[in-house]
Amino acid sequence: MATCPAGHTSTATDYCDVCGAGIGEAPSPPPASPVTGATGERCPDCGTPRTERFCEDCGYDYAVGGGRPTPPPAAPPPAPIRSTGDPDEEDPVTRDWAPAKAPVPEPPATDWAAVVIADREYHDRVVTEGEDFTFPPYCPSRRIPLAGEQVRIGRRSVSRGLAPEIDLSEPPADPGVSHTHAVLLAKPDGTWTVVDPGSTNGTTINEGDTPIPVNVEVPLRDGDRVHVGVWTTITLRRLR
Amino acid sequence: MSEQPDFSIRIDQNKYLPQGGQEVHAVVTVESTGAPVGVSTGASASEVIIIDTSGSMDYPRNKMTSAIKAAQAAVDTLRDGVNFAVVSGSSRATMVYPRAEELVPASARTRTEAKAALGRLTATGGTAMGAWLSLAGRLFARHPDGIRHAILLTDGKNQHETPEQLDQAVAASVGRFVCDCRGVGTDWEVAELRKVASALLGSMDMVASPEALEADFRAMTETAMGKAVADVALRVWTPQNAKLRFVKQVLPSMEDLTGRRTDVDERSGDYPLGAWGSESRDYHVCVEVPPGEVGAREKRVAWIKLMLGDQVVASGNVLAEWTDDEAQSTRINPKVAHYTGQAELAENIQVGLQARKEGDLDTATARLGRAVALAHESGNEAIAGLLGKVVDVDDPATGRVRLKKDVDKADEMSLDTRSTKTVRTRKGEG
Repeated sequence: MATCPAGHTSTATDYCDVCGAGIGEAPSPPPASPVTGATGERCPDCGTPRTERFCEDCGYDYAVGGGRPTPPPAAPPPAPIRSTGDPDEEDPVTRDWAPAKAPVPEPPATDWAAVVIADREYHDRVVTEGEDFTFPPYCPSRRIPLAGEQVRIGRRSVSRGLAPEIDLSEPPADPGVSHTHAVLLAKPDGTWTVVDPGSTNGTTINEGDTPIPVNVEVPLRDGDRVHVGVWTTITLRRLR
Repeated sequence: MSEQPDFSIRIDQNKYLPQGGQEVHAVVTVESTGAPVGVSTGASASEVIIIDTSGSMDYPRNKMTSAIKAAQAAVDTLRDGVNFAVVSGSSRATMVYPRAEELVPASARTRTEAKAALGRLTATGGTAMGAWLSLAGRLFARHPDGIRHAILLTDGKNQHETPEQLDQAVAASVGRFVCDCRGVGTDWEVAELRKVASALLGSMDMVASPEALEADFRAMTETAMGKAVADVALRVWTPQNAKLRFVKQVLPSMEDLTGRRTDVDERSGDYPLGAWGSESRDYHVCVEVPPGEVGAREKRVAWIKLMLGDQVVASGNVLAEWTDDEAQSTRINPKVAHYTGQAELAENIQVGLQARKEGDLDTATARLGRAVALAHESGNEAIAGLLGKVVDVDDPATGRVRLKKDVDKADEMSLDTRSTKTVRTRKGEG
């Protein structure tokens, strides 16, 4: 184990596992450069000494005073309830250093949840003879509380910076789901609608055969089933 | 299992960035040596030959007979013990040999039987490549280890299923096998076949005359059987707050791999490269990093590892160091410059040909002229020769050209098909 100049612990001993800084032979202290505030200033968010415009550690933007929303001290965001905690779960905020992202307040949870399952009946209905999408032998059902104005259904993509709330790229990943496949929208009266912004394979509802029209909101009621991809059925549940 | 080839990774880049610079480019050369070539490599291998038997294969009749001869030659190249099958494709996919939906080990007997079964093929029906790929996928499913290679030969457009059906079948086949695609005649779609070959990590080419098929098929199976390891991946680590802009294969052909990433952990992702034999390929990697401090020590901005399963078989570093010495930071690495030019070349050809098709002759002349200049500059003689069949070149250095009036459809298609084939930098550069 080694420690890099920024204080990260690193298994690699040449360059830091986290930030890539060189480790080992201490380099001569870098000459103070006029643009950097090498004045002992520290990042207000994580305390890392300032080197440049952006915080080395968390991406805080000193120029505009943002870039990393300070996590609210309140309750953690509603997370999918799963049997085990996933330590690798990414924080979509810290990995994206793009400057000047305004802090987003945590949306309040609503009375609704989406139950995501791999649905054998739906799979058998849409996957025709000759296609080779094997139904996954193991797929735990997930319950995701619906929160905020919108809940995206899709596949996570690091390269496109997409992190849908209902992420169907978690194994076993549904191969028929588009990156942004459909979106659940909260209505002022407390109900939800679904809209398909133009997915490749379409979205159907309640065992329907005809995909819902693109970019048209379709109201959903408690117990309605939204089918996407080759085996995923998402059932809306009103909790209270 | 056997001797693996020795892999090496070489990085070509200019690590110096100007103050505030954020974009780091590097060319990663992955080379393997010491792989046993040709017969009896250690990896087990499976081969499926898919031959188009749609009705159009009968016009002219020699298309079908040449395809049969080519497939027979491919069967002859299979070494003993390779699991294989022959599939015929029309609006459905049908087993030619063996009759049951399975692969059989190659032997003197099975090779003879397969060739005889091929000889009985007749051309009838439509074209539904998705169904053909699905059958191949099912055949390979029982042989998940080792080299899995398919050859797909077609002469027509995919007409008897929707583009979505083809896309789904292609998506379902990704990672299950590598597929080389060949178009024969001039009635097939370059873009359609490119989509299949590219997703399935295979090559695509045009066989203008049916007579040339036999040698091509033989070469493809020989190359496939010469692969020593299947399922190699490039693992790319980038530091926190960095963004991997793209990963492209740039040699032997242009192929954008950026969307093929599978995340490994928070900072690393794998890009599948398919099977490897004794060969060398180049990749262009571009990373965007927050600007560092001038005068500070160099940083690792990408750690490239070649993965064979969970095993790291070679690795290399892309570095960055910020400097106020403009002589250092403005220098572009010759290899990076070369492949940037090759990417531009491919793009200009594709856009130029499309414009020509649509009657926008000014755009076509400008783009194809630029392509001529780039091909000339980089020494890509093969592409320069193909361009010469579509335009009359007045001055190759400046790219002054005139569009030819009458262009053979086959010449135009082969230029489109091969537009992504690249060449190495000339000797002495890079």
